[in-house]
Amino acid sequence: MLFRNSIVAGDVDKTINTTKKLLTMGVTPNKILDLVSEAMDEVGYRFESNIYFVSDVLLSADAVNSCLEIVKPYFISSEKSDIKIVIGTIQGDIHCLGKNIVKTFLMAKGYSVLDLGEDVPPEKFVTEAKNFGAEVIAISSLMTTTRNFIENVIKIVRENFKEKAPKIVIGGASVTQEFSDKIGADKYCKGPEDMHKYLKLALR
Amino acid sequence: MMTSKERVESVMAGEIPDFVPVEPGVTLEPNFVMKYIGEDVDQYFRNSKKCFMAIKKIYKDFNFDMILAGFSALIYPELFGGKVCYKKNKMPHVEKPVFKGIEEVEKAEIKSPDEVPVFKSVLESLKMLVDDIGNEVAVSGCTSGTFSVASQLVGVERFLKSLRTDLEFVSKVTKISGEAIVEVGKKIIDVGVKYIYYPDAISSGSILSPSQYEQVAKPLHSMFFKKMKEAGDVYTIYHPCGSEYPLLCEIKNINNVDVFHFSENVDFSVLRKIFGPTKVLMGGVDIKRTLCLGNSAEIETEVRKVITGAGKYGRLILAPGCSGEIPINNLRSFIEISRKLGKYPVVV
Ligand code: B12
Ligand SMILES: [Zn+2]
Repeated sequence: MLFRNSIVAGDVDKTINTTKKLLTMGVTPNKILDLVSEAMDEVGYRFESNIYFVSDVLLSADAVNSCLEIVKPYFISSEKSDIKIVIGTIQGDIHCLGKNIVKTFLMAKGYSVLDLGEDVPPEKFVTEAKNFGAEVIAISSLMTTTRNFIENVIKIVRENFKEKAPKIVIGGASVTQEFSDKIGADKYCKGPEDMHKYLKLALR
Repeated sequence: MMTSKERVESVMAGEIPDFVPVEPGVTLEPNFVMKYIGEDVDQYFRNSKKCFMAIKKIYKDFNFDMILAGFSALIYPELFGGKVCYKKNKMPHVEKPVFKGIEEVEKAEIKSPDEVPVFKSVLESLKMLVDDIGNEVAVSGCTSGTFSVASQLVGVERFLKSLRTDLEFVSKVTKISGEAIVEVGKKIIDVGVKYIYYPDAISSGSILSPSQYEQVAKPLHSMFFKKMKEAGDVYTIYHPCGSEYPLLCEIKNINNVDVFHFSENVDFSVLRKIFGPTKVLMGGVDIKRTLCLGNSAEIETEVRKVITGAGKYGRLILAPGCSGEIPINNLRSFIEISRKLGKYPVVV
């Protein structure tokens, strides 16, 4: 409970201390990750219900990151970190807050996430996905004006991968499921929980 | 028929003009402006003559009533010695935060905007606009919001987290940011601009809680508008950049704001009731969907809704809910439709 609360409260120091304590008590990294995930469910709930705002979520994200730094070395080869995602904000768009929040939620769910930053050209999504061995490309877009760049990512993926193409998930205020269908992306997701649900089914 | 300038002035004076004035937002968007004359985006900040020519051409080609031009929060780090990168076809950006800790902020020195080339260049283009076409069209100079500038100086996440963990840091960073913006505002007034535009996305309702807004952001915004009124005989325009409903009670009580530029997230007929018959409202047309992706029928529906909601008796400036790029065809439709539906007395 203490551990979970420290993440929900966004208390980095307490999170580091309790993480270390849990490990010395023999709690497995996978179990710790489950607790992180539960804590972030609570943060997500509070954010959706306007109890939490962006500052609060960013602090919880810091707490999650500090915990993951400690436990990561332990589960490098376990099944939890098997699924790899590259995420970035599409070319022409420098909005980063939503993308960063999604990234942390996904990490809290056990995915390995490589953040490509903002204003990412379509080719870069694809080359980085190849290099990282990503099963998923996640694209954030808040500007309607950048839609054709998203379309390009999909074109390049379809050209470059004959089989086992990474799933392309799009999100952010400027895109919709309708747009996703139109350009042939795999899925539009409203937020990280939504994306996690989708990936659980799609990558089974 | 009134000139564009007269049209806006009559709205400000509480009179009913010949048409509802229109401000299309595109002239504030460096990408749109420079692409329009086939130049690179960085020229907006570097070549005052080209920037001026491009904006003038857009105004002449489309014939709207208010030109919105000026500064972006993205370039403010330069006033503090920070390094901003200007690359071809890219918006300017800072590579690393200008200030790491509170000590650095305390030691910060603000350069005068006319000593920094990019600021000098944008100020020159504003002056050229005022001198050349300021007698026919309203020219509005964009400063930038205090939270947006502060975020550029220390990094947006650091800034937002500090709102919960380190209010002293927030207070120091916003103080110097506010001072810089006031300096920029004064220079804009010096070149003859009569409309001071102040947009702040980082203190919008999609980022802050109502209490963060009330306690930290609102006093800073109020301070800015007060200083502008002291600095000259100008009109002020505030743009809270979307998700306004939760903050509306606070926004309404900010003094010294002459025009509120709202997004499509709020219903203009509700706004008219809340703000009363004498406040000037601006905005209302969805840029993200309707203006970027919609057809002219959809634009017409939306323009009609905004006019009937808040402009039947004047006091309205039609504009996108946020400035940005709009496809040329839709820009043309938007202005044509605004003229068609916005002729006073408006027929519902
Ligand atoms: C803050 C902000 C800024 C900041 C960005 C700071 C930063 N470093 O991120 C600054 C001031 C720099 C900025 C600049 C601009 N902005 Co801005 N900005 C906003 C604002 C107010 C909030 C965005 C935000 O951070 N929200 C909070 C986060 C947490 O929410 P979110 O991003 O939506 O993310 C959530 C979901 O969407 C989703 N999600 C997001 N990405 C992904 C990805 C995946 C894979 C998944 C599954 C889910 C997902 O999950 C997140 C968590 O729930 C919005 C308005 C709005 N209501 O969205 C405008 C907005 C996005 N901006 C807009 C514009 C026009 C601009 C500018 C052109 C200038 C201007 N006029 O303001 C520049 C453009 C710069 C560029 N080229 O990108 C417009 C875009 C309109 C359009 N044409 O599409 C908006 C919509 C404002 C409006 N009302 O019209 N902006
Ligand atoms: Zn805006």
